[in-house]
Amino acid sequence: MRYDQTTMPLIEALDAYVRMGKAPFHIPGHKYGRGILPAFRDAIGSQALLRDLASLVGPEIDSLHDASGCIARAKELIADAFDATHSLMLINGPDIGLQIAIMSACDPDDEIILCRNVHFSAAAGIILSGAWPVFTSANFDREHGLLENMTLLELRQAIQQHPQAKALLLMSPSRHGFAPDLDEMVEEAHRAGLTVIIDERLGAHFRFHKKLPISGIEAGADFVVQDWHRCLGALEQGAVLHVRGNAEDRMGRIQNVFQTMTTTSPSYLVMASLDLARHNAVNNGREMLDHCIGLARELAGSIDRLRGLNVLGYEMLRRSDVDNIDSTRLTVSVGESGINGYRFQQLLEEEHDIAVDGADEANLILSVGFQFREEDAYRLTDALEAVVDSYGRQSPLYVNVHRPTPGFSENLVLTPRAAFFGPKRKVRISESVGLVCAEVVAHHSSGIPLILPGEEITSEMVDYIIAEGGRDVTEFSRMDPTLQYVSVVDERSTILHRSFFRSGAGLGGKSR
Amino acid sequence: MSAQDHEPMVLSFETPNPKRLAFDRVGAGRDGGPPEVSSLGEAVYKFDSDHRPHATQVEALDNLSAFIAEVCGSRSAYPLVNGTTSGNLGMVLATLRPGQKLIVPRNAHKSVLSGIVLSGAAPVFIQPEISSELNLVFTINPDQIRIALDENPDACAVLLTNPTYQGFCLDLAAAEKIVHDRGKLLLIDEAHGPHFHFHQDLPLSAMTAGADMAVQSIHKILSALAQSSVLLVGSERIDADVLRMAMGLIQPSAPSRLFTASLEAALRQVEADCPDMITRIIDMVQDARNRINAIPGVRAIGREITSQSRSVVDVDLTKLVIDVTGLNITGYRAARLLHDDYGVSAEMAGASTVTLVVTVGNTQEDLDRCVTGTEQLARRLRGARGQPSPLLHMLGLATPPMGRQVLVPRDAFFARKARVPVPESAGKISGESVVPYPPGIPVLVPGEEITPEIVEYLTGVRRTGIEIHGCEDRSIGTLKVVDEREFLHSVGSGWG
Repeated sequence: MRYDQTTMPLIEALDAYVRMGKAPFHIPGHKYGRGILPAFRDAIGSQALLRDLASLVGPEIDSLHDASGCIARAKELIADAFDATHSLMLINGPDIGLQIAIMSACDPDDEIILCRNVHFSAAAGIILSGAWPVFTSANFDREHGLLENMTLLELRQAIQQHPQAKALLLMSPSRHGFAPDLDEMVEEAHRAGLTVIIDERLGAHFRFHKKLPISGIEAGADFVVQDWHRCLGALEQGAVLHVRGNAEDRMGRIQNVFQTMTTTSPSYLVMASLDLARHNAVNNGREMLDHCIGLARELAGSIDRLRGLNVLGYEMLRRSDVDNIDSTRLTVSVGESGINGYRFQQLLEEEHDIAVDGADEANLILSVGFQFREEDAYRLTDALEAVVDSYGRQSPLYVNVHRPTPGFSENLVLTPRAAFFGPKRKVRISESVGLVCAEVVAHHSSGIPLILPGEEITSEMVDYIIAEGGRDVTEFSRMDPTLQYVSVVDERSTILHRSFFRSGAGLGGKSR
Repeated sequence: MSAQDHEPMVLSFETPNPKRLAFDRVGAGRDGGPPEVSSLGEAVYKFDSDHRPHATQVEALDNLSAFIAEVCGSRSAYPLVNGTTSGNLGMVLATLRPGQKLIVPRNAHKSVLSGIVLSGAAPVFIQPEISSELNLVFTINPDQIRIALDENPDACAVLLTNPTYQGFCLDLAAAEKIVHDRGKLLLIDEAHGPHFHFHQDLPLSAMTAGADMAVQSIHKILSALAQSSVLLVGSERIDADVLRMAMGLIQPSAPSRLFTASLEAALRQVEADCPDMITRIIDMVQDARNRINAIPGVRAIGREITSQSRSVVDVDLTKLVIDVTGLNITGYRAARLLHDDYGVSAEMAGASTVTLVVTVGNTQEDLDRCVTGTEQLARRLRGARGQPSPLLHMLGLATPPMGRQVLVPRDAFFARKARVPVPESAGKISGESVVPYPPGIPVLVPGEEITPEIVEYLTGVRRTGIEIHGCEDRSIGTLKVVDEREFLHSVGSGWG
């Protein structure tokens, strides 16, 4: 690191500005918190409210969209800490960061190689950019109930079949904490001229401990998106997009796309929390992670000893899609207890006041935080044991083969963009088989994009959605949780244009 | 109506059990933030990471949307956690397909052009009226909308900025009639007008006027946290499914509780305190306006401005817009002096004016400081010899007419580009926006032909030091133009 990482330029600038005590005739309208509802002021504290500012007529606190002062320095420190060429502060979360990366890497009609285990927000980036997604095969591990990462072999095949592809998107680690063989895959992709985007929303802390998997920037990726709220303790929506390599050529485009997607009234609270999180990670990250990893290992041991529960661990490293494991993240397989993962999550929440990171059919996912204490571990293992004792069954509830697994569509008919903006009609999900989807159908709780616009809806997918939709804990999208209906491309009023299709493919035809 | 009918909402979550354990993220230190203490305090982190069970969160956000709609007088609403920018993106994405026409004032906020780029829509621009006396942009006259719609009967929607940054309002009622008589959609960027709905002495609000959608920056004028806005849907003409899909593209999947709760707090306050809260602000500002108008050399603009304009029919009385022409300095300089020397921090400056935003957070003491500061500044400058700024001379230079739109902005945005010196750019297609301040109206947007008049204007601007926004080379020595080879394959590919 070339810079002095013990400073916090943005936080210091805000502190200095607040001390000046100027009369505020600028936005935000609450003016240092003085005009805000008292109940809210009490809840979040006047110290924070004093610093919820906007760019001023003076240069004291800089401006995110045109940074040349304290924000520019805070960004430089972030880039320095991660060895990135440039780092963008994001105040609108990792989802928008991923979209910015995709739109910066792909022009309309470019191909982007990705795997089904990416986060559904990638779909929005693909729609907005007008790119063609190229999915590598979706391997659903029925034994462990999770979607596998892309392997090096699959990447090679995809490159062979799509020599014109422009970009590769990988999620590392997966939501279960399993990282693919990142450096080899990045090398392979770069050999084929691909721009590599890593969705590292769960791995911003990797850089700070040698026992953790390799980070995207170290592996040589071009764009890396990190969620600093989840990994480094920034406020929610605080995220970072790192850019590496010959960034100068790209920065113009990236800045334009960033400005397109980012509010012109960015929150100084979120930006300041990024400055603080960077400071903390650089200066205390290793010790905190030492502590976290050590306790997580002990916790994994004690959970593994419980009846009906297994922690997925080192046996995963034998698989071709896993190169390393985020040891702060535990994936607990609950299958043998006879309790479904979602139900298990609900029981922990309702009866023991314990929140977990996520769940799926077969697993619970736990993240071990920086301030995790030993007594918390005892409480957790006691609670897990109590749930299994009261609700577990002697014989497992289901046999693996009956577990519904998503059968993804293999037939992309239109670009997601063309389908999204095309004429649409609404049909019952049960009557949608064979039609071309016009919206993003995602599994909100797990983050998996199930159907993209432009894909033909398959009967396996409809079966899966109906089965999953039957559970009250499944949510397909925040705005339409139940998914009774789906928007499809209205083939009756679509005037087809040659440019909508990849050569040789027609509506309903095989295009892959 | 009452907030109680919408329980539970975001702010009103019961205090969490202090013994609750969360294994939901690595970054969670004590109180949810990093273990290190900073001047931000701990409470904000605690509030930010106190997440109730997922189902409760979903219910709370639904209730918040219903509460926003009820308070703001709309049919439905979306809380926005990525600012009014995301609302403008959403309005454009939800109503226009690639290639469809949108009628929009040339000085619309840059997020409207961003929406046009993302959607692939074709903009039809209307030039707003410019006040040469104040060197400010007024607004547009409804007749201009009528003409634009008659010339472009295939347009789908009209997106207007109302009020402007300085609080100038167009004749919204007339505009609504013209737009809806022709069966088009009326979308309003009401960023600076979230308070209009709550006081009868304020200009007509978008929802009252019958607009189909509007976006409001609750954080600007009411008291939410920065970046917190709302999207309001006013009519059945908006397809709810398409809007939901569009919002799904631009909203984070994990919205910050700080922002959503601050929206709830701001609207609870409005519900309990309006219109009295706004009456107090209007009275306070009127008093300050009178006192400033008694100072020689400066003038605070009020409703009388409507008689000097063809387009402005009403003015937001909570704004304080001070004309400093009489002091022989620019508004930029005046704003900096007020900020640096008198502790009065304005919202924005123009060539001749300083604009101050007064809200429920301001006290009489603030306004006294503002009046005293202005008075001292005026006295100090009257003593000094006036030296007319080069900027003021520059403003006489007429803005060149718009170039022909050759590509939709989206195609130009994604096209391969070359950088050429400005004098060599005539006849080429611009790959970027060029927005001189003042007056803040784009001379070029992506996809437009660069005419010889524009080249001449840009060469002139370069000699003055007027601020140029929007383009990469801020010294405007070079321009990014669309590489001609693009024409071989990409024209008209707004769908791609």
